Amino acid sequence: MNALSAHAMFTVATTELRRRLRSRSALVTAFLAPLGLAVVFGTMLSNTEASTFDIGIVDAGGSALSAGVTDELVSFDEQASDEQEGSIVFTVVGSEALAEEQIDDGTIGAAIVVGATGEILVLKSPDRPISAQVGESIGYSIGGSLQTGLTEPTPLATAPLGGRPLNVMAYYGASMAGLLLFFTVGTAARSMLEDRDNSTLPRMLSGPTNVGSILSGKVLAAATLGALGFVVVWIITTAAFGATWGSPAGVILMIIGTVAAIGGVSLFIGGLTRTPQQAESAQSVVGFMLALIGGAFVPPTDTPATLRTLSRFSPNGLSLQGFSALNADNAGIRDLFPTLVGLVVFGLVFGGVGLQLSKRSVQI
Amino acid sequence: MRSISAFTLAALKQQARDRTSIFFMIVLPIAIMVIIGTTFGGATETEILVVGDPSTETDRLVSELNALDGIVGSREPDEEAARSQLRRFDAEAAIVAEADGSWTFIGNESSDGSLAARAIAQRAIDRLVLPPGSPQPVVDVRDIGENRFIAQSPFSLTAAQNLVLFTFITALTAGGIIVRARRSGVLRRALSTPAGVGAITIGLAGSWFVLALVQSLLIYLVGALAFDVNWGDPFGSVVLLILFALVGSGAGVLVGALFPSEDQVNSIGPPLALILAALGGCMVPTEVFPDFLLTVSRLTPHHWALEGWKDLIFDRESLSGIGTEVAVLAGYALSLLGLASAALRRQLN
Repeated sequence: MNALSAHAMFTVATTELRRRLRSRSALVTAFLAPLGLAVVFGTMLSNTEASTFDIGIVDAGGSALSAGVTDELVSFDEQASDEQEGSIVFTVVGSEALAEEQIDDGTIGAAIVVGATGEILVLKSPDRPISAQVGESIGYSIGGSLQTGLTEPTPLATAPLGGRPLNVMAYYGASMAGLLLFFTVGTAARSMLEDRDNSTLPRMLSGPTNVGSILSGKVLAAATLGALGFVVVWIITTAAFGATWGSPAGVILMIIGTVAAIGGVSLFIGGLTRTPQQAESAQSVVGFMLALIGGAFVPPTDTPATLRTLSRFSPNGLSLQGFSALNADNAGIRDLFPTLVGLVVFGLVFGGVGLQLSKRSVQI
Repeated sequence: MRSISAFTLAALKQQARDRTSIFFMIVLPIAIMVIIGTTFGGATETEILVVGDPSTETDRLVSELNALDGIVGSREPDEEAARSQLRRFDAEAAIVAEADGSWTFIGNESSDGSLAARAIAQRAIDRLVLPPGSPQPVVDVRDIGENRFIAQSPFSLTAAQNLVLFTFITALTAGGIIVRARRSGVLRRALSTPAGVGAITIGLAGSWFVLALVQSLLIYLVGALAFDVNWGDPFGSVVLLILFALVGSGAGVLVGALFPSEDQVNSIGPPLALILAALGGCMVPTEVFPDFLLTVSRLTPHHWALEGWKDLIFDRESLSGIGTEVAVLAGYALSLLGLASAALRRQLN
């Protein structure tokens, strides 16, 4: 690129950036929407740190065995409450019918009914899947103890995890900023098509510039806006909600890598289309699908293994992998290297082809 | 009447041309239903790591874990690597084989699953005293409610969540069509015909209602036929479908009447709809919400629609059993349609 083209590119970039910053829609997409979504998701799921599950115990058998099991669970509850905060609370419930009623009205999350000879029945509600999972696991555990005939369970000490677990607010900050990047960075290709349609492009080309410089300028402006949006989400979730994203140098590199990868893919998608409306539709579709595959909408605690494998093929998934390593493992730049390379390769391959396609689609 | 149906048809044709709406309407709900359904729908896999050198005991523990439904046991020789996986939620828990023959459990306290994982770990360790291949204990697991003998599809909750989420998101994003018609002067020119503002408003709301209802029915049918969801009382279902379609159409027309540009509808609509849906419990079960968020959740129409569906699906309630939800949704529908009509009248006059 010669000096004249570089000058034209920066002129287009600054003009475009100024125009985007004046647009309320761009401000919503780049800053408010990812921030709002991150705060809502982060607040919803950060609560898991303090969750307590109330499990009802019903001595339906009235035998020494069923009474023993009930007492055992209540004493487990007392021991456990000394060891860890917010866990499982066992409550003795008078009958199976009462337990059903209490699950239905939300007093307890699930119930374990112990029969006279040690038969175990777990009552659960399908609209409270997490309580159901906890109740079921305990039911099987009791069933197992009765089967083995162990009067005392095999000693199983609990050790603290240590370090810092994944910060949910930071995770959703990165995931939602990544999702909205498709809409922010995707404006570059759309804007070229709009300029072609409203005859702005031919007027721009009458000066000493070319399509490549104009497109590069628009890509630069959109990428800068996308990166600024990401930085704002990072700063505000950290300052106002105590999110811990990890080392600042690593976060900055990951933001650049993510903008490059998602920008490249959205430029590629934009290049395949012929009208601004088509570009917007296609970018929305691909953006949501890649974010979905990347794990943006699924809580990190519950991502299925298949989705985790699949997510490595999505720029959003790769990006979240890097942000999670920074966030939970205090990863350094060296640890992030493979993820960053992956993101840059995404950006270069898709962005390179996208630039050529976009140039071709606006040829006058 | 003819002018109202003409506006309804014209607006529907416009909506059918919008490919983004079609994507939100068909592809995304089904994709999410499958992904979220496998996450919360009972087909989840909990990974528990066994940390320690290969030995008869650790090998046996891995196979005991793998013999349990929904549990994946795997070996991890390095304790620090195991802790790292737990911190990143890549695994749910780890059981460390100590040098003195004892066992230590490590879980991620931030994950609800670790509570269940501890019970699972205890069960697997207790089984080490039994001969290998001993049968699993017999435990009866039952859903509460009158329908407890009817097996629930693992997709039941996620299907209801998606129905509510996508009906609203589609209606809201389609609001851009009204903005386009307003700005291009189509609606103003329509006023020169014998049709009045009232006919235009009802016609537009009618098309949004048809769009929302068609989408709801689509998710309803896909849920029932492909994912075996038993939606419960048909009368209650029809009332909920109609009321929430009215809520969606009111919101869509309101957005179309209020927003100055199509660009703004496209940039604000989807995030706003996602936030309302998340708050309403459409993405994560409200059982994990903190109390203040539960209060906020009750302010969204999504919450009431979802509660209604849960009552129909899981508690086998009839229409009379969802009276509160129906009343709240009717209130939302009337308010939103009233506001939309007033805003559109103001724009056109």
